[in-house]
Amino acid sequence: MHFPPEYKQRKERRLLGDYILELNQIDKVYGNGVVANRDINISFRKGEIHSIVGENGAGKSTLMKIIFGIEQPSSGTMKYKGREVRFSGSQEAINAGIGMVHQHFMLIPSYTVADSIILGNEPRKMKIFTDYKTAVKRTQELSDQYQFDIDVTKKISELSVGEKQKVEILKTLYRNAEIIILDEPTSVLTPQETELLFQQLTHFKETGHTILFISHKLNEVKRISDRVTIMRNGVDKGTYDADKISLDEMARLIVGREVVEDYSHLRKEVSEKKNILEVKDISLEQNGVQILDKVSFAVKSGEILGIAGVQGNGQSELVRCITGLIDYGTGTTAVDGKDITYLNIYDKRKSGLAYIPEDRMEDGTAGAASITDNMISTFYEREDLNKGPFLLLNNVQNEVEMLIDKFSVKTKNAKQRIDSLSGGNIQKVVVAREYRTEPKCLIAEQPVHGIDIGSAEFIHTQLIELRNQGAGILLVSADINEVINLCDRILVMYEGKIAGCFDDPSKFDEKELGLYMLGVKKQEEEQGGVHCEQV
Amino acid sequence: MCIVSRFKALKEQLSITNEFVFKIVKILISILIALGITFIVLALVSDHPLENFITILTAPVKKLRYFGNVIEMMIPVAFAGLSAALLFKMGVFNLFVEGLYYICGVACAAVAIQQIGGGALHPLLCILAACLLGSVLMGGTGFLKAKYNTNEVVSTLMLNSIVLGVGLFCLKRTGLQDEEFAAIASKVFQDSAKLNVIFGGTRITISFIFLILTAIFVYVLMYRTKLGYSIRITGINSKFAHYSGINVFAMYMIVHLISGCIAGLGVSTELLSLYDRFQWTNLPGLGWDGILMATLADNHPVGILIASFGIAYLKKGAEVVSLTTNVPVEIISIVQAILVLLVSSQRFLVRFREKKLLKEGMKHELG
Repeated sequence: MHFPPEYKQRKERRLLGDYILELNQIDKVYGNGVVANRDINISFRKGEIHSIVGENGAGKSTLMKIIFGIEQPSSGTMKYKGREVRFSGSQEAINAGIGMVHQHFMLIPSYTVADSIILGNEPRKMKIFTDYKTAVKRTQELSDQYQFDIDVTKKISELSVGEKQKVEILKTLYRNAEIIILDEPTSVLTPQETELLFQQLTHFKETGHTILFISHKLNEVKRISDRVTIMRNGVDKGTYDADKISLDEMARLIVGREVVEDYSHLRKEVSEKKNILEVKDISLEQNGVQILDKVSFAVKSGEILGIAGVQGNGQSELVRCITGLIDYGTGTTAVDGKDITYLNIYDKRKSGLAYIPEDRMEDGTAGAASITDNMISTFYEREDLNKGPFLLLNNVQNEVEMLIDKFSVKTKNAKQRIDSLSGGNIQKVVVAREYRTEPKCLIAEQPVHGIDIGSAEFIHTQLIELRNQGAGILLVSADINEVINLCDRILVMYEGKIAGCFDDPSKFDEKELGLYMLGVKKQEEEQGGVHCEQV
Repeated sequence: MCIVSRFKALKEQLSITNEFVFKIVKILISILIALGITFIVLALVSDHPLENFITILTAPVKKLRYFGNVIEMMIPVAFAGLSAALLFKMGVFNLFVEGLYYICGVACAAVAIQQIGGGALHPLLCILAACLLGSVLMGGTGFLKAKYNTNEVVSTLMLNSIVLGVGLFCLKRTGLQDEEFAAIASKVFQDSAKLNVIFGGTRITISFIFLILTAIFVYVLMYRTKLGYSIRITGINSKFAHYSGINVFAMYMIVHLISGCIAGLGVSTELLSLYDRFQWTNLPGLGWDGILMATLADNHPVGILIASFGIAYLKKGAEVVSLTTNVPVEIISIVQAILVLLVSSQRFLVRFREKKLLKEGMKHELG
């Protein structure tokens, strides 16, 4: 048979495997209805360092688990070396030549380095005994071959963090991994160790290994990788050549969201303005780390104050201090002029505080309880729901059905377990519950994180309605656009301090905010830092 | 097809969730499997397996006395089950009910051998003594759990042995013991302390009514009151309860106090109904049985009544069979063990359930 030459060429390239691993339309829905990945299409070239960047919860880890066989995709296909594969466990992925170095090391402190490397794949003596001598010899050779400079007879407990990581990498190499997945490898390393790691990664690349590098330190990503895939909210936002995409561009893609809705037409002016929530000088130290450093601000009635910031800059601790979930370091909080600093949570809520927590499965709901039980937990003591010690179940049911209807929670039956709902609907229950307590001040922490766009818009509208009724709302979010679209004022937090303050909604600028969030820019106190604390 | 659609309509009408249907189906299948295996074992050890099997299932209803025995056997076990279930609902796997049955029994006996006037006063004082001691001791374990987050399984297992020793000591060294009796036992209970039989021809006393009232109390408390609501929520997710403003520490304490009280009630009514003197020198095992019932019934009070009745029924049936044949009573332990294994196993039939959930999740999110 006769083929035109270009066809032959194409066929050849395909056989050689231009791409070592291809993901096609991968979806992942967890058993409880949470969508972690949606329509992921990524191809990894052989011998490249390919970074995957995105916020916490953007779906990076789930995707890596799918590649490594710990999780199975709900739909979509994976091609490895041109053949379609489906790993039902990590052992199959390892056998196929995929290795993973987890963020938290999986090592046994009392084992030696050699023991750890061969674990699960030991050289045998007479088929049953571990041949330790051979093990030491082989692992030392391996270590020398890749210039790891490790004494394999040392115990794991004697190693530094950087060395432990080397052991993990050696483990994958020992099993002939061709693809090595590194989950946030630099987060535990010193700058010098990071430097060393990068040299080794480059070396691996030259020996034909493919590196999947997960990180959210953009500088590193740009430096080390050949290509970068950006993930946001479970979706991949495209793959770029690392030398062709700028840091700004990357940051925008990571934190931004498609411009959702413009809510400005819903906003009404609220005439009477007073301080609803006053926070003064909150500081917090955990394990010797200054997590919050004299944070002060005030939320007025009829406004939404946004706190923007990349996750892990103290926002969640700040909220937990105010709401009483963790103990105060120092500082005071007042709601509507009343000091609530030392009240317990029950009394704080009685004073008019409501809270939509960041972790809706852990703090926000009791998964095995019914929707009804979850809906009333903050106001079940209200008079019309009780008679003496008894709950009036009919009234409770009516109340819950009214809320399900008003907040359009999609469910057939209020007796259903709440964890059988989708993430968006669970969050609607949480919002309904907090809304119903008729709060003076509502703290909403990542209220639409990880939920579908329809539910997100609905929840945003409810927040604005609450604002129009004169409540003060503190919105904490890592999503710049959410903050820009909803808020009347914005504070940016960076490393436990308020780094910037923006008063004028018409002048909110995504790029500018992004620079503050990433710590590139900072307002000094005289420029306006103090200015936000006052009314 | 017609039955299916009717069932669906009924389900809508009573607003029964899939979860509930799933539970019932799981229990029914478990019972069938357990009985099936029992039959197989019977076939191995008995000459007339079918005949014996039928006797096990029918004997207790053939004579009033037998049926009375079933109820008598069920009562203390159900009390222990209710006591344990309250704690399990809180997510506390506290096994102290077994030890409480012993030590509260000693307390009850100590009052029952005294000469106190007649009427209802004497039994009431006996019961009160047992309940009070039960509450105090169980409350202690609750405090350790709530305040210091001790591992309740380890600590209560140890406490069971400790209170057995303390109880025996009290029995022997504090003047409770009847020196003239052949075995170690307390002095004879006063007649004025004993509970009256309420159904002639059986030995069922007022303790049965106490049991029903207690079960109703537990049900109403758990599902109809504010307190019960906050207890349930705390049990399912204490972080969520804390976030909602519920005083988690208080909930732990209240539940432990009530649970201890029910254990005291269970053992004292048992002693005053069926015993002439306190002669346990070992843990009675009623608490363990109760814990099994709570597990079988998924901690639902009505379920506990049904489960302990069912097991007592089978036990009586096996007892009758063992009188006339070489089949041992212990055959019923097989049913019990298999039932507990199947009902409490999280993974049994779970695939069927997960598939349904996943389908719904996909429908909402991707569709």
